[in-house]
Amino acid sequence: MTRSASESRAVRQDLAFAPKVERRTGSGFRVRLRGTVIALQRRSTVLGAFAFTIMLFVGASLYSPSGFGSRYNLQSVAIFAAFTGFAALGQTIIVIAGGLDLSIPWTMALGGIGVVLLAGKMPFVPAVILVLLIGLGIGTINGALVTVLGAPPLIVTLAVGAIIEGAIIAVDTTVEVGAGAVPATDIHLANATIGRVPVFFLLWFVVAAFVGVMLTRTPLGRKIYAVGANPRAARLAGIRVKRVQLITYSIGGVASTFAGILLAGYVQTTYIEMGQNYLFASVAAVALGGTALLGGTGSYWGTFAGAVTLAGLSAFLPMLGLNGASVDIAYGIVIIVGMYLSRGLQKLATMPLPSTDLGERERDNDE
Amino acid sequence: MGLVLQHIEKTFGGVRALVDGCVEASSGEVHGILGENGAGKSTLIRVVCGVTRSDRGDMLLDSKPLTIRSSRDALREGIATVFQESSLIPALTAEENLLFGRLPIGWHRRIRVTTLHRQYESILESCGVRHLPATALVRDLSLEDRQLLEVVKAVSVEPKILILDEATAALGPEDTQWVLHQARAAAGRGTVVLFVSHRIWEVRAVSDRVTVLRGGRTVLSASIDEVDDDELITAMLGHRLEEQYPSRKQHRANDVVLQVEGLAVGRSCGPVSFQLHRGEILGVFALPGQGQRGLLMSIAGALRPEGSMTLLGRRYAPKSPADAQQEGVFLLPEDRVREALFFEHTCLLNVMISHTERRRALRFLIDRRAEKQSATATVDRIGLEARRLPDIVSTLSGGNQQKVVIARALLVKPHVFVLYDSTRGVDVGTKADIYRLIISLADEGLSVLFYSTDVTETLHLCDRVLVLEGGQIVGNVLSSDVDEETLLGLAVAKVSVADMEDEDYEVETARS
Amino acid sequence: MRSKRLVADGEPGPLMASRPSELGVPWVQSRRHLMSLWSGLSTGSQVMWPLFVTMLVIYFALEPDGLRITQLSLTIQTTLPLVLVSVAQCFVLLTGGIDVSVGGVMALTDVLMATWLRGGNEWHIVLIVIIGLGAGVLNGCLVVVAKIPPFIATIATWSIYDGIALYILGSPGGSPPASFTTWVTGTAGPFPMPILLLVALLLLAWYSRNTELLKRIISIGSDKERAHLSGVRVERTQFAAYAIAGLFAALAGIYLALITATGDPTVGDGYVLQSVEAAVIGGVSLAGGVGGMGMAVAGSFMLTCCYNIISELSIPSWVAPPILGVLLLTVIGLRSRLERRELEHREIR
Repeated sequence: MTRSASESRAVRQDLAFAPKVERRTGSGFRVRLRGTVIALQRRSTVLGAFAFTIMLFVGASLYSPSGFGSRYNLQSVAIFAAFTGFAALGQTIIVIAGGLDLSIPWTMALGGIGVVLLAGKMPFVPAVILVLLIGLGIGTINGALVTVLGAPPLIVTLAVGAIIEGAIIAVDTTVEVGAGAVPATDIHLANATIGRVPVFFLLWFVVAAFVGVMLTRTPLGRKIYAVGANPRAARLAGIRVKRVQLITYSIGGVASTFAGILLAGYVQTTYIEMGQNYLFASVAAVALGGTALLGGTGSYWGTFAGAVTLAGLSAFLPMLGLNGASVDIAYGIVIIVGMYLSRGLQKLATMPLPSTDLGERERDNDE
Repeated sequence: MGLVLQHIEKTFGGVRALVDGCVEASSGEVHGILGENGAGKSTLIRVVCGVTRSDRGDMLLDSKPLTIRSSRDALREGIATVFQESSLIPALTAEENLLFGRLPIGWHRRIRVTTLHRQYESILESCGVRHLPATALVRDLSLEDRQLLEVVKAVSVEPKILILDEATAALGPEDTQWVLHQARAAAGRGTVVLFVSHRIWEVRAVSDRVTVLRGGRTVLSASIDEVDDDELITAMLGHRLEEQYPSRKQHRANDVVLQVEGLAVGRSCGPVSFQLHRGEILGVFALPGQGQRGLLMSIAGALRPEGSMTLLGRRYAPKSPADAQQEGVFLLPEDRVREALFFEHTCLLNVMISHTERRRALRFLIDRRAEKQSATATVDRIGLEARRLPDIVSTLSGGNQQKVVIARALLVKPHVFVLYDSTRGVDVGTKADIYRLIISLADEGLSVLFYSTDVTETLHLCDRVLVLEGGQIVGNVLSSDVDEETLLGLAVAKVSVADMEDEDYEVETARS
Repeated sequence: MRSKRLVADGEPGPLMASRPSELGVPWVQSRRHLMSLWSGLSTGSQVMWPLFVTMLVIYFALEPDGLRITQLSLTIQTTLPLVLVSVAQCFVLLTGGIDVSVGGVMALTDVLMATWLRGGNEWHIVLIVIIGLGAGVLNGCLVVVAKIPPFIATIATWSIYDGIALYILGSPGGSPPASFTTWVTGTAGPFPMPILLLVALLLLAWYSRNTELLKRIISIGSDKERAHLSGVRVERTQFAAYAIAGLFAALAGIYLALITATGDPTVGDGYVLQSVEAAVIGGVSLAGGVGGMGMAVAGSFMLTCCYNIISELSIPSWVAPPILGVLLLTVIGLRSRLERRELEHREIR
């Protein structure tokens, strides 16, 4: 329940009379230090992910300065990371809330093909908006099915993916469209750079910031974490669990569609399988970013780092002489390793602090 | 010859469930085990049947040491248990369940179906049960039939130790008698029978000796003929440490806030009817599994019961706890770890989860400063240090964790506050804080439904007490009118003199 | 005040003489036997069998030629890979888990068949089977030992096995030994091989129904804690289920390679969803504890029937996957309604 400001004041006054507990106050500095240490501890999974990313990029650039470290390579890595990042945006939020979305590849394809089909019939911006709305609708359907059917999201979203595939073909059987059909604006957007940095990457960065704010500073974000961490407790605490889960899938639908639209612009063509690469990649990016695949904790910044790492890996592995398929193998290994990492770092993040504690040991004076 | 449990200790994460559990049960004897909730009897049973491992202590069977590390070990040693939660597999048939673990294997690892059937029929016959169809899936059987099957399964193994843990919970009088007969028959064959029940008359009817546990210790062990019911109840209650109960002014009858009519949940609870008044602390006292969960979860909106409820004059039929909270009913759940807390998150989140403070300007963002103030003020009231707010909840003690959940409830400012065994696993100091808070809330006009398994606490804290047994309200008394013995007596279905002289009361008199 | 001892020693009396017993007149018995046979089927099966029979009737009405032995044999041949992979999935679903890596295992063994058996190395086929088993064992390790939830573990291994397949064979090509292909698509005596293989599978299904292993698998899918209380080695049984799944998925890939006479690293992906569809539509429950090999077989043929009916009605083939998707979701929805009610009752104890 939310309250107006005056009601809140009333509540606070009510509580004022209560007998106060003796409080030990340490010096201001030590309290702040403790707060900082706790904050760092909690973000250890994300920090770890970024550290790994940096190590990979530094290492790869040193190994192959003109190959990996070239401007061209870094730019395309940045763009691939951004696509992965957008595909994984919905995935991250959905996973934090305890679900999973395997229909992403087809939703992406829908985005790309949809914008191509509509751009012939209406100006670019309305076409994009319409396609995004369709994506929202699909995401909502995913969410509705998962929450209403109560079946494993893995299977439900996989089935929905198959249905989307059929729907795409139903709308226009001549799905393979050539370069000329992709709207010019789209192509420009996907390929533009500001200085050396691709616009799309910057856009992704901005969006990541928004998502970060949403997850940490809005009531919805808080509920998403709660629902993923402990759905039973969330329900008993008065959260409408199904509604929250539904919303996460809806967001996922929009994000995937958006990624698909820009993907069409970047590769300048559209085809049914255009999103296939991003199925495993989205899950792997989430796992690598320290978000527990079981839900309840994590952050989109972690996925950001994870997506960048994966993009870097997929560019680097061929340079080591391994063929492209090794990337798929890498995805799988990354998911497993990511599980272990997030479990280990989770323990780190929730360890009771040692001596920065102001002397009082919690567990001693127990029953 | 027999089972000896010596000085069994078990601690679960800070809570000492068993401190000194001792039982001596001979072969051919039915040994009753009594105790309140939290007394340790369920833990003791779990140790014997392998579900839990003791921290310390010895077990001896026929003077030889007994090591049990898992349920498989227990089965191998000849310990058969009729579990409260049932160990039957719902997706398998009755006959498959009955002979699970000793299915007749024939050619190439294939089960001999006809042999299975024959064995099943003959076992049922020898136990005097005839009506359980062999090929029925257990999930399609009624609760009573399941429990009967479970008893037959345990008995037919001809175990060395037979444990009956609340085996008669779902049964009517005839079936109960049958179970008691089975227990005695098993004893007659030389089995050690441990009979756990919360119903004193049952224990008396079937046991030779009895052990009472309290506070994790064995406090009484005697032949059943040497003690009477009152002594048993006193042993279960005992004298506890003087706990601080804040004084309370006499509650005066007030308008009705919550009216419950004919509430029933499945087979476990109801129909039940009662009223809750404004500013009243209404206690609900029951031993485990008597329908209190169904009742309280229904009131809190987590279940959809039959019957009707009225809150503040309006029809109250919440479809979810969120609905219930909007109407002003808040539940403090039973298992704070599994049902209330978000373990890996901060206290602040845990406190503010049901009620967020939004920014005035950008309504979709959280106002962090206002939240911190509200949270600080609230946790002050319950006696939790505000500096713990940024800490992760898993690092707090049990008592402080409970305080976090209570703070959450306070922020919501409900009309009706439902507390489900909120002082379990909580230290004395926190308990005192909680009592003080509840009383001050009631003084402010909040109504409290306080379910507890602690008799003393119930009597001292509550104005009125409902006693639940077998899903029914068996007592609706003012706390000033009763003492602890009476209250517990109601909950343990102690048979009174009047009852026994009642014509309808069945007594088996067959004597050889 | 004490209550009297109420139960005397001695023989327990007969229980509930008033309740109806199983005795009865013979014809009543056989009718009751039939009734119990019907009600003994899970609700899923009760829905499935009429649907299956209806589909068969419709299909053969539209295409009477389909009943001819050669045509039938061909249909069975094209369905057998799906049958095998659905059986694989069935074992894992029974434990309450899921295995999406079956697609990867199929791809891997398919590719190996096409590339590894050249020049006198035909016996490597045994190794390929073992590799499939090993893939299942790896899944089992991740789920049971590392305690990674099945959906995560098998997504990861799906990616890995698919990747290995792609690594070995970048695009469709290669060829398994012709001798194997001819043998598997030919006849043994008067009987076409596909029909023989199907019969063998059905015999296996019938046999497996009453093995203790299957009962144990069902028990852990039905209720893990209770299975544990009853003495089941939960971890070992789960492990076995995943290993068996790997084995059958490998057989599916091997067979597919043989009947297509080529290797293709991308075959697996389509089969993942289909294996679940076939199993679930055939009556296996996603929650675990309900199902059997026979259901996977029936479900696979239902899927094939669906495809064939659609093509007989001149509907374009791309309609089939979405329709099956909808069918899957419907079956899940109906089933979960019933299951959820039961769970609610279990909540309140």
